[in-house]
Amino acid sequence: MIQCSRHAEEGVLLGLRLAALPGLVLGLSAPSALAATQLADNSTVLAQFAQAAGGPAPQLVQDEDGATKIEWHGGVTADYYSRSASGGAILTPYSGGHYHRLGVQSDLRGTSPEGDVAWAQFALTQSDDPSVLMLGNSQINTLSAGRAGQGYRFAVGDVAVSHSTLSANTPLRGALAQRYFGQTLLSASAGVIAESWEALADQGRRRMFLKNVYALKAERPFSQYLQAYATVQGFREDGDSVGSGAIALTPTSGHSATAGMNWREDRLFLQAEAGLSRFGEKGLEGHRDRAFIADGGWQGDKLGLRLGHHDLGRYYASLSGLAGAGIKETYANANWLATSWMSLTGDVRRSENQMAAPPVPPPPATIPPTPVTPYTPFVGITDAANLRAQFNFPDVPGLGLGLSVGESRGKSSGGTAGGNGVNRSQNQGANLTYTKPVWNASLGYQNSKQSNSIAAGSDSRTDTWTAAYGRNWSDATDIVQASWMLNATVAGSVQRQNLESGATATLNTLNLVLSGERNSWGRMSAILGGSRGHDATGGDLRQHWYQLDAGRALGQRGGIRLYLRAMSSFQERAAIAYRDKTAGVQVSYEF
Amino acid sequence: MKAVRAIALLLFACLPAASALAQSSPAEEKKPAVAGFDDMKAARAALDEIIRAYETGDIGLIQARLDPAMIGYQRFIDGMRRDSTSLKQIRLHLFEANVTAGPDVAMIQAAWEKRFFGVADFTPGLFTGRSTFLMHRAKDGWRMAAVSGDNPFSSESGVLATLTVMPSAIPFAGIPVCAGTFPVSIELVDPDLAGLQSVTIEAFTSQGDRESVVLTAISPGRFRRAGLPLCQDAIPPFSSNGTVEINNTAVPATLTFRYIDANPGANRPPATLVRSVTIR
Repeated sequence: MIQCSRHAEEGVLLGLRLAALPGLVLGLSAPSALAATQLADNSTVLAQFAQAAGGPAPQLVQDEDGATKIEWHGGVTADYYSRSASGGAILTPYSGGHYHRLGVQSDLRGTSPEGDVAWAQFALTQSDDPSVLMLGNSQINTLSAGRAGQGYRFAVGDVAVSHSTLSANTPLRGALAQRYFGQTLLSASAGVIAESWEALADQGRRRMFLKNVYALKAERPFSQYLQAYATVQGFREDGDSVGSGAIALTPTSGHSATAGMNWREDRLFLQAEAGLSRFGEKGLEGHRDRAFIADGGWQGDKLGLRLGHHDLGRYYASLSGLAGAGIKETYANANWLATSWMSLTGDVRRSENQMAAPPVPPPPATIPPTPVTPYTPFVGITDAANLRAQFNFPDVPGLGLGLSVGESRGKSSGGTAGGNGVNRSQNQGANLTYTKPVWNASLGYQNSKQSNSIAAGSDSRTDTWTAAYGRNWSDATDIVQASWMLNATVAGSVQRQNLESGATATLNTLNLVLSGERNSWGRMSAILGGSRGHDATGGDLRQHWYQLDAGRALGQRGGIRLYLRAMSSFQERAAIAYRDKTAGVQVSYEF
Repeated sequence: MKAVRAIALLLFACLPAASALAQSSPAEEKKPAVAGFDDMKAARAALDEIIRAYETGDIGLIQARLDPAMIGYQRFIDGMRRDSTSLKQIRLHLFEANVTAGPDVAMIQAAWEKRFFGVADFTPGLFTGRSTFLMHRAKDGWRMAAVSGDNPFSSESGVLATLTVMPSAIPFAGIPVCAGTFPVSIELVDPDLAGLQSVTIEAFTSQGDRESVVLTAISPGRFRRAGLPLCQDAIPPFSSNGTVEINNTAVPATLTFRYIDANPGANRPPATLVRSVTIR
């Protein structure tokens, strides 16, 4: 980290003597014209900056007062590793060879005397390993610059738009601006939703349409407890942004408007939002749809209640990843700290899924030209209840017991795909834990039953037992911190699945983990594990794996790490056998 | 280095405007929060924990980490439980990750590959997709609020299907006289349909024929057909007779395959997937 702090009397003004990125300047630096500049020293920080940046430092200009704080965090991580792998792409993501991976990240911030923050963040991965980057050999992981202060925020690059549940909740590559005008907050965003910066720049790396988007929001408090807001947003997929034949979809467009409110008074709260949208596929008839959600509750000292209702039409189109279309559900949820040693969590809900599989076959033929087959909804309705209990026994400190039970029953109807379907899911579980300062143990049991009349091939009951024991060693005392520590954990599980067809599958797993650290040496960890069992056809299943990892610091900011890991699966069965082994070294530097 | 230097200078340039622009507002008392790489790392670690829990079938842990107000909560949970029963040895591999963070939200965009074995016959399977994981900062750490795009966690929660038809062009002379079969390879991958034994898609021609084509599951969610009843005739075609007929007096013609993905993910309404083959 590079950091600078200086206090004076009236404020801080900073000047530039080197060129800046013109586009960013256009978006961000216009207010700087207001600032008069004076030359000031901050030699230590700027010398560090210059050394790290490999070039001349920006000149920090300051008037007589205020405080200036510049922070620059960053790091570089370089890996070189060799891997052998077999099994093919269906079984493993890894391929054999010698690879490297380079990660670079930088977070530069400046904080004004008033607390306003300007930032520029950048992260990049460069690798020739196809399991890290499938297309190309470098990717920008984060690219963002902006400024936030009292009552305003604006940003360019990777922008997280988070307006509301039914409107816009999405990352985009573009610009965002928010500012208070009196009590009213206005927020505007525009840009492109793309898979990556590289896909945005190169059509050959796109696997989905570029989506041009905009989102607007106005929010205003109407009392101490009530806020209300309205949003407008839209998108249009660029049909020419992907090469012909690359994907089978038709480009779409959509627009929506929502209005909502947040109310919180004392222990009660309510959030509600309603929206209308229009969605269209290119060349096809458009659809109008609506959505409504309401979530409220009461939070007491020991009891919390939540109730909610969501109803989103199948064709409701928004920019929000939270707004799952085709869902209608009502729920009630309660948390109750019944006694000092028992807490309960209960949840009941009814869900209607209008996107449920399977799809409906096409209707009978029509006279050409053939219109698009209308979609016939296949509705699934599910009733579910879950209850969890946690017990802590005051007489036996460290002893805890968790119990859970849940069930959901669903049925589907409509369409012409073979009538009604019924599915059912039941699960029960118990987990006993005991924790002491130097050791801990746990024992668990899970039982699950699944049935689905539409896909009955996997109807089954699964029983799983788990157990674990862990122990710590160190030279720590009540007054002296540990200079070394060692931890060992052994965990095992036994799983048996009984299918309705009469077949049985089993899998027994054992895993040993050792980890240790000594101040003057560094740290290490080792994992050794294996599993045995058989699948539903009776075929033998054998796997084993190991991992060794050791690292130590290099100076105050650097580090080196050596690692070796391997996994071998089902070598006795040629059709599904796969294995991989990786050995590598990692060097890192952080500032 | 020039870019780094330029960004640094840009930051300096922006600072003086702060006090000038700031005005009385409800946010006046709040310090502006800007997410850093530590936040992104913590959000990614929370996502990785959920992925490991999904792989090991620990659905209870995931359930405890979800907000009960999550839209589609029960569909999500039921889908995961169904997956843990019908798909064994699940391994979810994330790559090409891109993180966008706000004050209390982190959005992780990543491609993924899900490998597994079907429970009935231990047939290996591979699904691929691209998702945006919405992570929200809660009192006790980062929590997953939603999965947008293709949902890797649960069947029936929405993954966009892929429809592949080979070849893309058929010489008319190679089509047999009715009734015959032509080697057209049709493959549909729709993870939402894992467990079904067959799927019906639609085939229609520019000459007016329209037929239903049944694809058979070769592994969970992957359906294939190697040959199509396709033949040439001198008379206009008959729809729904099980054979795609090409009238030899009206070539070139187009043979189109169409599948409606009921739940394509990305909060997208039912999507129509289309592949066309030219016959000339």
